[in-house]
Amino acid sequence: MFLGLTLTELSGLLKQKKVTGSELSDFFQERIEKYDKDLNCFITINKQSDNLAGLPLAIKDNFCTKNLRTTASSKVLDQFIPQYESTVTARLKKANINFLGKTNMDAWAHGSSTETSDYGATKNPFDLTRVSGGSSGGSAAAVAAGIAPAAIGSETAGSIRQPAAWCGIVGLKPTYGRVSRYGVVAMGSSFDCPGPMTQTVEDAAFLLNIIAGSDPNDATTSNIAVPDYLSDLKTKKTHTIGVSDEYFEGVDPQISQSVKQLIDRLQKQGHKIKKIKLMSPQYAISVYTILQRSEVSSNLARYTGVRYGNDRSFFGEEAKRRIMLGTYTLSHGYYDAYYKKATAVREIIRADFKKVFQEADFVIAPTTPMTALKLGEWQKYPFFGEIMDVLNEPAAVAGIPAINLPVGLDKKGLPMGLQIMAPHFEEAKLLNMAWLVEQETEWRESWLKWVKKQYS
Amino acid sequence: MRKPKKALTKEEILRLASLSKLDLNDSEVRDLESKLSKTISFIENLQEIDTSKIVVDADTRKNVFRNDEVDSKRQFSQEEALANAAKTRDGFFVVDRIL
Repeated sequence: MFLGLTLTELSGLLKQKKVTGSELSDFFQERIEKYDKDLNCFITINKQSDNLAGLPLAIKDNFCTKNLRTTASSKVLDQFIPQYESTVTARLKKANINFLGKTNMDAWAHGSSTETSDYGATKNPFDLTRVSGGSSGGSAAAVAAGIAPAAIGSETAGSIRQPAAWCGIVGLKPTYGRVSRYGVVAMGSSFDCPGPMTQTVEDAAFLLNIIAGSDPNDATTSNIAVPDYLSDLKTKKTHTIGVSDEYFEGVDPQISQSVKQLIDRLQKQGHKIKKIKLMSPQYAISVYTILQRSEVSSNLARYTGVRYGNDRSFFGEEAKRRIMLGTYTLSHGYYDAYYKKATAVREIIRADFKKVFQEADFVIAPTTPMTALKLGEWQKYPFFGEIMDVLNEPAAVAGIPAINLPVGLDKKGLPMGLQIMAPHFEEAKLLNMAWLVEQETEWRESWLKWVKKQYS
Repeated sequence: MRKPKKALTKEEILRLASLSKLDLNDSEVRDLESKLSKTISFIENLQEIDTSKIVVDADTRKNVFRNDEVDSKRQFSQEEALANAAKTRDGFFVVDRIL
């Protein structure tokens, strides 16, 4: 009976004492027990929660949760029990949130499908022969199937937006530095962004209010004040929306058409649509590949099996590949050609967005070039992750915030996503624009009908 | 500065593996030779971009410092520090012999 209620609605019920946290916890834990054997969203169920009175939430398994097993979906950390709390989960606990469990992901967040998880892939709730996307696939699928009312994920380049698009939910990658990375298993330290994965834009704002803000334990967090992301969320405004042809190249025609139809509807609502030119996302792929793998090779050096975890022989194939490439691009003699070059091009990409945001308030584009793939289909693509995330990598490289919104199903019955990109630290405006777009889609009603039929 | 290469040799793979403290079997080495070389070819496209005027320095990056003080609230107890270690003895981590 709580299926399909938003986090905001459940919070209201709790505050009005119309329901207890225990009742909510029991409700979702039963659903997890019933459906998760087919979906494989969760790695660890939090049976011994110390906050059963709270609002339920699922947490991606790369957030260190004190005394609750954290694996980053890798056998290296199979028995790892964090002795401290990540800043994000500490803030959530303080806001009376109850963690239902830790969700599945690509191991070390290396991937776009959860197929590199050492604990099996997460299935797409819309088609169990397909993947949920990744790396925050477990979080995305849990929300899409209604076995968690909302979740926390993280994005390095696409890991929130892409699974959100493939599972038909809202996923926000905040500005880099908006949310603390302290206690998050590090992947690409100059890219990683924790963020909310929710049923609605309002829920994303609700969670961002709790987790955003500077943190003395993470020197890369910004001191820019955190506004109330809910206060102006539902105001009717009109904006200038930039549309770049470069972001429609190679995109499945059904997705392109859906996104363009929505842009037309926005124009009818009074928004100004402006054709803009952005650098081809292909360069962001190379910048991201080099910088991320360089940072990965450094960040994964700590896993020696001495102070914690199993030894390096427990690394999966994808982790080994990324460590090796990163070691190469950082090595003596190649550092200038690769790492330094990529850092310089990164500045060009950042400046490219800054230039475009002088003419437009937002950029709207498809989130992914195609909808969810079948399990194992990744083998057809030589740079699988990079291709799936091509439209997400530029915003990640530039550090700007971006959000995925579900816009409909394709002919195969799979969710399609649209993304909105905004200037650095403009999450309040971005969430308002996202809410306005959300009002123009019929997704919420159709999802409620579908989830009540498929998963109850 | 060496010119970027397009294919990695087996020797280079083994050297990188040694730097990264990864033990690779023969099939992994072969897989990496092919996959890494493909990736390196792809990322060559960055050479098409002129970055001669880009400077990444104190104007675009700054260091954030804190005082060099211990915050006792953030300190692990010895038990916490050892809690996840595979091998401990008398309150110490046990490591491989290095001398």
